[in-house]
Amino acid sequence: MAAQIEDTTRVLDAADALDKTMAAQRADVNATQMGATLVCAVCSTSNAGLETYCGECGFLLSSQPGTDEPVEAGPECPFVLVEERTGRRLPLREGDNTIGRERAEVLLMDPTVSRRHAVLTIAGNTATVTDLASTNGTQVDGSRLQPDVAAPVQVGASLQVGHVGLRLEAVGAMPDPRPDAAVASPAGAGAASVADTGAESAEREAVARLVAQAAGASDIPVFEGATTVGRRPGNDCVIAGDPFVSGRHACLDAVGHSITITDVGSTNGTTVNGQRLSPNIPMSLEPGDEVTLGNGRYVVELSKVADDEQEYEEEPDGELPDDMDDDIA
Amino acid sequence: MAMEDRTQQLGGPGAPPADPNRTVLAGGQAEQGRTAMGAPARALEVQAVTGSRYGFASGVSREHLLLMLRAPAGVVGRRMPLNLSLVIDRSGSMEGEPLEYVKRACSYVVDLLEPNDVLSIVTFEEQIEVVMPARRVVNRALIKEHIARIQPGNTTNLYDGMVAGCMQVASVRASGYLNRVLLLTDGEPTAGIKDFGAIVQQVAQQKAAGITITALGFGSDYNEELMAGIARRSGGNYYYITQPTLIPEVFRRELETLMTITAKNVRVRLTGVRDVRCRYVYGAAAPQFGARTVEYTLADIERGSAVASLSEWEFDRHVPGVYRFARAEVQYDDAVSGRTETLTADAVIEFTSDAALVEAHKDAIVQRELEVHLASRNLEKTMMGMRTQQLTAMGAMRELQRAQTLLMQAGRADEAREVTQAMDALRQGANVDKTLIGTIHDLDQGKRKE
Repeated sequence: MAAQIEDTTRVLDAADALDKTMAAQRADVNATQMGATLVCAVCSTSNAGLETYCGECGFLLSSQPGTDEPVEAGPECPFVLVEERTGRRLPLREGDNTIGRERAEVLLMDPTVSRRHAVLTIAGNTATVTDLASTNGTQVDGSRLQPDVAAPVQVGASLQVGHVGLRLEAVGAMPDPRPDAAVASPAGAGAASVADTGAESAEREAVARLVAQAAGASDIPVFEGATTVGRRPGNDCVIAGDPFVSGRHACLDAVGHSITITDVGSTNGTTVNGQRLSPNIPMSLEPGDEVTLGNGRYVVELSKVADDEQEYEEEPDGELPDDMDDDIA
Repeated sequence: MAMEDRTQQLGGPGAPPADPNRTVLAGGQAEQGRTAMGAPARALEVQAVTGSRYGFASGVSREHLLLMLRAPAGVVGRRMPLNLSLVIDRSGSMEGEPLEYVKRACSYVVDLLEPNDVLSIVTFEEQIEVVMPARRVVNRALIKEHIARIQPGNTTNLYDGMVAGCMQVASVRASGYLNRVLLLTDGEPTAGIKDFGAIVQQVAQQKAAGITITALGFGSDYNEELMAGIARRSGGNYYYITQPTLIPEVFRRELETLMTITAKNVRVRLTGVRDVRCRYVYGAAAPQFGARTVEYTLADIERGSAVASLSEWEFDRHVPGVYRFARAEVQYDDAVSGRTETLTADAVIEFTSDAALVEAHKDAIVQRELEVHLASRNLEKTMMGMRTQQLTAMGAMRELQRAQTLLMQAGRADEAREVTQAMDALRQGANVDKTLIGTIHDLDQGKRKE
């Protein structure tokens, strides 16, 4: 059986990751300062040269995106549900979206949510919610709904499903995250990624920070995946006002607990604990390490969420599942 | 009650435990080099298998991700020393044969343990008694003397008994032990905290502190929902013991299982890329969803066994191409390397606008795991149907037969046999919940011998 699995997984071996030829070819396309940074052809995110996949969209960096015409999609839904506690985005479709614990479009694995709890109906620009006689009820902005009676939901309204807090948000407020909108030539990528950057970083949680040691200087947040740092707009973190910081200076990569920093060919270099980094060779960072970029000095600090103690802390179980109340399907 | 010989007292802090954070980072760093060289000197291997080689690019689609964690039988490390607490119900109903066999089982455990292991024994009725506080298993005769003195009492204060056992385990400050509480009861809790939610919440806290509870239900009067709930939340095992004479045998089986554990405190973190969401993790007790991540724990893994962890993912439209849609990180304490290790695996899919390709390249192993989970849900419904009498005995029999066939086909012979046993019991008009709930527990844990 082991052999069978071997066949079906397509784990790319480490040799791919070390394919420097590929990295070098890519670099030519971009500015000289970028060194071996790889710009993703799908989402325009810059990735450190040793990455196999784009840290943002997951695209295999050594490949070319397909040219097949995407099939015409159905009507776009103007709303999205956001889980308040976690920030998780739960997309919606035009028509009925069932909310529940089993086979629902909006799947909420909480014991206080019934198997079929409520239905959120999207018709053009209006949204209504109907409680399906759930055990623990549905609330819109704090008022509990009568079962089987549709109630309107406005953008920004809070929706309480059992113990789960949700918020209805407009998709239009965000830049279009559709991949086909993001396919752009490298020339156009700069402009597009500026717009992307703001929204994305608001959405992403920093797993660590480079805490600025100079008064008045800003910290550099490190996001899961790749965080590019430089003077020019278009970086995930823009350091303005320090002429010793290059346009594209460094890239921070965070994968779970491990954080690395790569100098992407800056003019004045990057140091970690006083040691100057060779361009395009990642260096691992640990809490307390001192990093300099241009004139700025920073100390690495893990965010609370990235702390081991916190990371896997478990929530106590809620109420008993309401199995007994639901039909046997 | 306190033991006389002070030599058996656990020494001071012993070797200072390594800083867990550093160990993790080091493990992660070293791993890249080692993977390239092959031959990992580690207890676990991890693989990510996507439900189909292809994903549908032109619209919203769903696919499963199977994470296979294997502990090869050939990779032998030193056995993790046990820090075990036997928590024994000595309520009135245990009087006579049951308690005698429990004592025999406890003495048997003492024989199986080695001087490296730590043992404590707690009994509960109305009052909690620490028969023996946590100490190394050196003077076996003395420990057995204490066991022999256990007498039946009155009511069942399961909660406080369980907490007392956990406290004994937690009192051992040295690291590297496999922390386990074996909780045996024959009845409903009748004293102290009796509420299911409060008990399970306590179990969750103990689990977070690194203590796992194995739930042993004896006879026909214990609350199987509660005992299975404890095992499930804890990631421990669940046993239904029908006869007093079987108690020593079940203890032996559990000990044998514990002594082959090679990966403990297994935690999984899945990180999705943009335009990709994890919807659901099958069988996980309390998955924690973040904006792009989901984290959950898995049961400890014995040498020669594998754990399958299945999750469901949803994809938005994608530009056709190959993507790593999620990255899996598995962190655990490794008995072979003696360290906390982090393994990673990439979940890869190729998005295509050709829907036929998606169907044509479904992965058979992922499909089989899905069917196993479906069988588990069906067993749950059958159980519920019998309880609420919405399902006749004949209807239940039909459902069980279906589950049995499915499990056989999926290679889950042990669980299929349990379902067969339940069918036999059902024919005799017996209650089969205590058996089936164990089957469901095992299926949801996703563990199997290889």
